[in-house]
Amino acid sequence: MGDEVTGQSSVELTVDGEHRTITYREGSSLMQALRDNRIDSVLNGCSEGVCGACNVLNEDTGGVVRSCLFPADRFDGAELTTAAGLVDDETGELHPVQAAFLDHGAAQCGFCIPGMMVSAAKLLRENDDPTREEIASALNGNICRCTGYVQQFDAVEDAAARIRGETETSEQSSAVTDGGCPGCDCGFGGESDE
Amino acid sequence: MSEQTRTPPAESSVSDRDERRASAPGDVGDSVEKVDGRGLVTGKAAYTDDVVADDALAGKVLYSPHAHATVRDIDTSEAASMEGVRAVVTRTADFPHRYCRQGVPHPQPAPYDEGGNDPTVRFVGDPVAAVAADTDDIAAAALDAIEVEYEVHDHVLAPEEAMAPEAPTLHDEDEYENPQPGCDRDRNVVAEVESSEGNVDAAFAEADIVVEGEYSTQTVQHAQLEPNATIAWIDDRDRLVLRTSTQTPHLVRDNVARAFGLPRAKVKVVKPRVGGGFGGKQDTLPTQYYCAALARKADAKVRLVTSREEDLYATHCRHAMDITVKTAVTEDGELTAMDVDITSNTGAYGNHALTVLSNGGHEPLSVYDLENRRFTGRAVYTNITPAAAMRGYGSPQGAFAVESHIDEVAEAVGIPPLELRRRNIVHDGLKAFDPGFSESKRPFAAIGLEECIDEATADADWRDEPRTVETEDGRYARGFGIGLAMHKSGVAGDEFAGAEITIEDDGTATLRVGVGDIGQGADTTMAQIASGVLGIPTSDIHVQSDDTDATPWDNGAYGSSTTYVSGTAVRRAAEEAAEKLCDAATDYLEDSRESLALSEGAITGPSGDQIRVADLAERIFTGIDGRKKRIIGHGDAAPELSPKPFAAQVAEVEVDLETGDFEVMQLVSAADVGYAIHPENCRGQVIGAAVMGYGQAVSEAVTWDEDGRPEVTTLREYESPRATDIPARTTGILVEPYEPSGPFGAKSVGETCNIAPPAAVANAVRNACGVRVVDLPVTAEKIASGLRRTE
Ligand code: FES
Ligand code: FES
Repeated sequence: MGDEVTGQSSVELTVDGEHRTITYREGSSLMQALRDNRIDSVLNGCSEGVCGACNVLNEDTGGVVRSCLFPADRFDGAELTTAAGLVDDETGELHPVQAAFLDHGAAQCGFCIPGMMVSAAKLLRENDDPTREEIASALNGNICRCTGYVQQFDAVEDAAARIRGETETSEQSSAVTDGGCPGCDCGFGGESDE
Repeated sequence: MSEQTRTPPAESSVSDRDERRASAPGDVGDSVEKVDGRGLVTGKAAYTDDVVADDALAGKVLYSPHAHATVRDIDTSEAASMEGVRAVVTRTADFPHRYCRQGVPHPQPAPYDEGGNDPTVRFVGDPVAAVAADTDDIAAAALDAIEVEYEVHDHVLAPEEAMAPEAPTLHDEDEYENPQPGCDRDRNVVAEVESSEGNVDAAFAEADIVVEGEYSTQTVQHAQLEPNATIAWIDDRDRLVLRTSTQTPHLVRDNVARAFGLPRAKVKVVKPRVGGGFGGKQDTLPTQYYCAALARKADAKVRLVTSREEDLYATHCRHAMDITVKTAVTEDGELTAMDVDITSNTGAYGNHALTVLSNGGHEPLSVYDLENRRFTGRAVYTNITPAAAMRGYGSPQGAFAVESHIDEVAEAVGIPPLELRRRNIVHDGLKAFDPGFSESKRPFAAIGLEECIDEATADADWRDEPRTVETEDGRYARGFGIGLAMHKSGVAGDEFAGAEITIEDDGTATLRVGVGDIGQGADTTMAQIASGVLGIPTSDIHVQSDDTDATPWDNGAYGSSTTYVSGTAVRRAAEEAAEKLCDAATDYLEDSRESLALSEGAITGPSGDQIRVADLAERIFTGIDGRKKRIIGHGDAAPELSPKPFAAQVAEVEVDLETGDFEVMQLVSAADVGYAIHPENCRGQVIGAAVMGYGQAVSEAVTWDEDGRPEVTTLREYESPRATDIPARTTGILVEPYEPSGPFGAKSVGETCNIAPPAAVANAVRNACGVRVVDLPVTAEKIASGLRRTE
């Protein structure tokens, strides 16, 4: 059975803002197709739709897709965002949730993290003031075996506050401790170093 | 110092920390950004299977469907002749050398019971053959085309059956090498241990009260998120290269070289970013050997990535144990003797059989001040997936028993469990009950256990008494439980780590260490330690830890050795480089050599005279003022000590007295880490380990049906905790008594908090509702049936 010749297929996708022709083995999952095209910010933790390591954002629906569960051909013309695409491509600045994960020690081995970033970014798009419970349920589809989740919750809470403009980004906070803008109410702790 | 922190004036330890932080020239003690952090959050970190390998053949393994059988014939002719198949290897023809997969330096404390073209398969998932082919599909078809003729034997799944006279013998091969103490292959016993101190029998004979209990723990699995992946090839110098997901690159190199009869210089191992290990990547895996064999045979690059299913049952798991504990105690609550007996299920092969068993008894028994203690145990072969190293290394099993039992002893003498513990725990000046092979030659010093108890119970708002939740029907009850743990900082007398640091001509440094980051943050910690000596920022220290050719020997990331052992090697390397920098600086500074200090990227004397490290390094590297030089520091560590980290973990549960349903409301873990080099990382290790222990406490299990077929083959079925499953209040507290022999006062942290959550939860359940669950995991059914019994 395995010696039937499997053909190649392709779809046109926009991934992280870049237009791509993704060629893949027929029948491949979206995850496999993306990885075969070197989009390695989509990871494979289980291939069974359970761990969330392969999560991508579907910009057309606004939803999170477990890319290992769906055939690639369903996504022709779709616009997808992965963790790599959350970085601001003009400034290179991390998305607030990425910066907050670093500040809170919320990424250990990192294997779950790109998928986790996608779930968290989606939550924060819809809700910039989530409760602890809302955060936990938004991350519930992402198994993390390393961190025990607590620092991840802290990070998402912090990222929400940053998005609301209530706290500084990490560069900005170090600018404050370095003496810049103490106590003024510009809301950002003064100019960042960048 | 330790005096101060044993009695808990919290402020004094806080100010100690502040002082230490302020006095260190670099980033030690600060939660700096991880050196690899940006790659992790942007998805740029490259794990084994993210490295381009378009030219690799697809490797796949054929596994035994039988729990115990002899391969009478393997016909690979059809598979080998299929178009696109490049190599086929078999268990019976391509592995002539005996080997042991255990990731510990040779000679491992384990039998060489694999390889040797052994025709006997011993568990469902034991490899039989493997193919390398142009595509995955062809490889899969080729596996289908391999015909294997088996003679199926009786099998045994539990140690008691395996030791019975009529049981089949699992390892009757003639060339069984390196048998372990007490080995009795006719009874399937891999190793048997007995060690004692004092006069245990006399103490029991004289005891006021004797309490006995039996406990058992289940098989669990590491379930690290990155599946095991290997890419193997033969390079242009005819060397075998493995790019593989491992905790122990230097040991993989050794083990693989031995398995193929190669000089170790003919093997190179590259360890990319690793997506979690927890002991699961300490040992060499069958897939690594099979991938290497295929690459050699095909003379081509081969990629072999395990599926999640393979990872769950064809790799390794944690030993399930049956444990009895007997304690002699005086009426006023002094423990006078304890006797622990463990039967450990080691599965099909004996790697870690002796050592995990030994830890299982010795570590939990070391938590208490016991003049008379005895530990007996045996590890037994059975026809299930081999057990191996897993976070905590035997201690979670032993501690579940001992710490559950201590609560029963408390009940028997009518003293609250917390109070009984406080009266009997170890303190400075006493010694651990170490197994012979890892004796740490020093009495305890700087133990933070008492402070851990204080901090954890205070944080959780501990109450001795159970209480009923205020509902009309009084249906819910809450209770607290505690568990204590001790672990180690590497294996005393066995570890070896080396480090090299080069000061680059721009004032940055390149640090080469043989231990790698597997997620615990090692690369950052190592860089911080170097920073703490050299006074240059962590971000200016480039850590290379990924290649056995380029890094000095290190046993690897296991046994909670990294910070203490490898960190010591790094500290020494940095010290040598700092010495050389200061020597060189004397040509430029007026101050005396002895008075120079390194900090903030400069060397400064008391007069304020200063030269920047970057300027100095550039001058001497370019030879502006004399002979060209480059500053390199070397360091190594082979400690005779293994300072013990301790932890106290508190759980609070609420039990539904009608249904047995329960919820763990709080899990508070306080860990004695010596000194936290990177507090946020450290806290992450504490909480991460605790949540993994919580998984073992309440939901995780790998099981086999009566034919020995694995019943848990998907991640969905393997219920490790998700974000919504963890206790609503899960916290980690760092206790820092400062370990003088550790780098900047550090001990280890990775495993300690994985140990006691099962006991803490079981004790909390007992406290809440009177039901003692003695076999893990704790489930609502077990509580419900206990409630029915007590009605
Ligand atoms: S890889 Fe898709 S959910 Fe695990
Ligand atoms: S950080 Fe390792 S799985 Fe989440």
